[in-house]
Amino acid sequence: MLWIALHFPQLSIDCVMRGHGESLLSNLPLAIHTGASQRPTLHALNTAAREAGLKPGMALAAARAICGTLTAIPRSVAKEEECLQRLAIQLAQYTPSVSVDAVSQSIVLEVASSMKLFGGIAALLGEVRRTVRSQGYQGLVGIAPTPLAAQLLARATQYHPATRMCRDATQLTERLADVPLALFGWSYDTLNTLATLGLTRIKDLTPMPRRGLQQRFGDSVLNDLDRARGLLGDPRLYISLPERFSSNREFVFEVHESERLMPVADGLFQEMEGFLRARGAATQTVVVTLKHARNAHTHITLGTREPARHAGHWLRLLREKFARAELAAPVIEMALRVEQLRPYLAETHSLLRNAVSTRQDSAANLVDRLAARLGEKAVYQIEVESDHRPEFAWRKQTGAGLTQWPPVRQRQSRLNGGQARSSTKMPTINRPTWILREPRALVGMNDIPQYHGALTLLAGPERIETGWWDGKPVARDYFVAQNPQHEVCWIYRDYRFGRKWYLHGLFA
Amino acid sequence: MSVAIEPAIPQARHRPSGLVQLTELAVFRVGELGGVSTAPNVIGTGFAGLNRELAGGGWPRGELTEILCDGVGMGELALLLPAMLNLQAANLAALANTGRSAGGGGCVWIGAPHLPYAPALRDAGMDLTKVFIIDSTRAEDSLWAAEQSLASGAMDSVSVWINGAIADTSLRRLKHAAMSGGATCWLMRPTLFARHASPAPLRMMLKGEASGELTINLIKRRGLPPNKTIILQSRSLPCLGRKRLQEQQQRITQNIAQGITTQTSTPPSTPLRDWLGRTFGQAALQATPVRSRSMSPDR
Repeated sequence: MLWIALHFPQLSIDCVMRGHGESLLSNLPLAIHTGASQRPTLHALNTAAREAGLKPGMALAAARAICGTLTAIPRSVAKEEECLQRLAIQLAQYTPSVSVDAVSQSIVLEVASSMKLFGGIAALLGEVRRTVRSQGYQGLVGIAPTPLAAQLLARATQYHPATRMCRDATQLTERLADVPLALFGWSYDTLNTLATLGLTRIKDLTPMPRRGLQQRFGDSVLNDLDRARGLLGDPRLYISLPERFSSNREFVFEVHESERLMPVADGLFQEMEGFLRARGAATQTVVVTLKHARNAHTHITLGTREPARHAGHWLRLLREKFARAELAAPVIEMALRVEQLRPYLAETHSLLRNAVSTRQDSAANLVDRLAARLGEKAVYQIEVESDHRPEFAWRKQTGAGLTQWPPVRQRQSRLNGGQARSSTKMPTINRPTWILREPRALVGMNDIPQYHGALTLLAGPERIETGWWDGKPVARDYFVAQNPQHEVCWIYRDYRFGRKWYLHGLFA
Repeated sequence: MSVAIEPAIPQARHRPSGLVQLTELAVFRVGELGGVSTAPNVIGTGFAGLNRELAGGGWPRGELTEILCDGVGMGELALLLPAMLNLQAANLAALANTGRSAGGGGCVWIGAPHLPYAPALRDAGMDLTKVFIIDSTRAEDSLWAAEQSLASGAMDSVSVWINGAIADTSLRRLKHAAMSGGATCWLMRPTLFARHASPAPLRMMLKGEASGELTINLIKRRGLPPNKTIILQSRSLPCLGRKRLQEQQQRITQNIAQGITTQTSTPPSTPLRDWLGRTFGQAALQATPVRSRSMSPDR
């Protein structure tokens, strides 16, 4: 067993700050206040507020007197716990054994089993740190063979800023020797009594007779000492992953430009990616909701052809959406929701290293990007339908399933081999390569149809009369015709309904 | 010009062999002219007459090609279809050999003047699952989509139709995207822009003929003198043969005047016709003047 503990000494300020990216709030003094409403005191401060001379524990009124531009926000313990929970879900991509300790504001991860997958403890720790930092938290890290020891070491880094790592269980007692007893969550009375006895560090307490300690302080002190040193079991309650994903970022100020939202969206998408990785899933639809102060919410639905989970891909899609439209109103909150999870299909890399594998998956990504900007209906494929009416002899195919490489249809036809191809082969009727969206009525002069000049009929007629059963009957004589510009057209005369000439296609 | 080239030659001798191999692929040599289709970055046009006139013997891959053409329906699409088929075939061959293919054989059509007609493309032998169509009316959208498609490397060819003027920088961006993605880019524009400068190494002007043939004027090409005119039979429309043209024209005009509609050589199969064929045999079907008209309740 090897545990990574993450302790967040600045959690209450990080929860508020992280929604805004680096630039927005960093040079603005911000404080979280707590305590009775008559006399609120400062609980946490950002760097700008600390530089202004404010200190935690100061009365809010005094703080305002010192720093006039101070923004004070009341502390919300529930929100802090929620933030920890969300971060834990995101960290579950590295190990299924993630536990949240809300009291000491820390998260512990059991990583012995997944260390090899991520390439060793150093690489894994790097990933964890990157994730935590990208979410805007300042975490202290401790690594130890027991969860409590890891937590103690993480909190001890506050006093000695260096990663404290102990991978060998036999060295644990030695490494823990200098850890102050105050880091245990013991009662004030216990700690005070220990301090008056001259016992302030773990190394002071370990040589003491156990029986005496038990009589004076009860079981909790001894049990915690044993748990930290691995002499007593310390089972933790692991988080369970939810079925759906939703997360949000509230802004302290209204955000007016969509460009400002991008770093926030990036954080949200990374959070989503962590969750999807932990679930071994991907998704095809993500709903981004922008909440405004007065206007109705703006919902932006992003879709992909293939289940995807890479944050960068989703961010690109959102960027395309923003590129098309301005914000309807200033945004005060941004939320992200994933309703349906799909199994993630990992891309298989070729044993031989070639550039091909990266190109393959980008076909679906390309279509996603194009559809996100130009609209779902603007990107499509065509299919042959068996119908004699030219306008029903083909079909548009949009949306999901557009880029299954190779598509199911094609795979089936390949199985059937050439046989299928020959049986579906139409009689050799020449059909035009372009067809008009709607047949265009042609002006006739002396019964000679005109399209960029008088048309000369070259071939025909080919009579198509069918479709009486579904209310869209056609009764047409098709001709191939050429105009003075040498454009070859496919025209027809509606011989039952009005005997008018229409242009229907062009032989390009 | 020769002054600029000559100092480079002695240096080339001292290059390590790997670098020489690399430059073999990237450098175009005047000696490698049409007819020799050994160049790897070329796709055959499907027309021997055109292949002979193009550097490397085909459409350049990873390059921008401009096709200037007024009007729709003079065989301009038929000029490109064989190349698209060649790309698809090359893709299938690569798929069979390695299990994977580079561009997937995909082609994108952006801002086409009309809808591509699926049955015609299928009859031409196209794999429609590899054809992506993008509707776009604004030139900037078309250019953006083209650039994205080219640069992604996910497609083998991109065809763009743009009617308006295109800024020189946009053309350069297209060219750059084509080069980075390795895809072939065909840009269809009106002939009005023939006199505008363009970074495309191959530009051609198309003109339809009454005989259905396509006159191609190569107004810019690599390696060979420009303004070469060739005539191709790009479409195989039987009605467009020169000899048959006159008589057929006369016959049809006559018939129209008399109000007679004649049957085409191969009427479309209908449920009735299929049933007749099965029951009485194909011979009976051909002997009787069947009108390809399905059972209509009002008759």
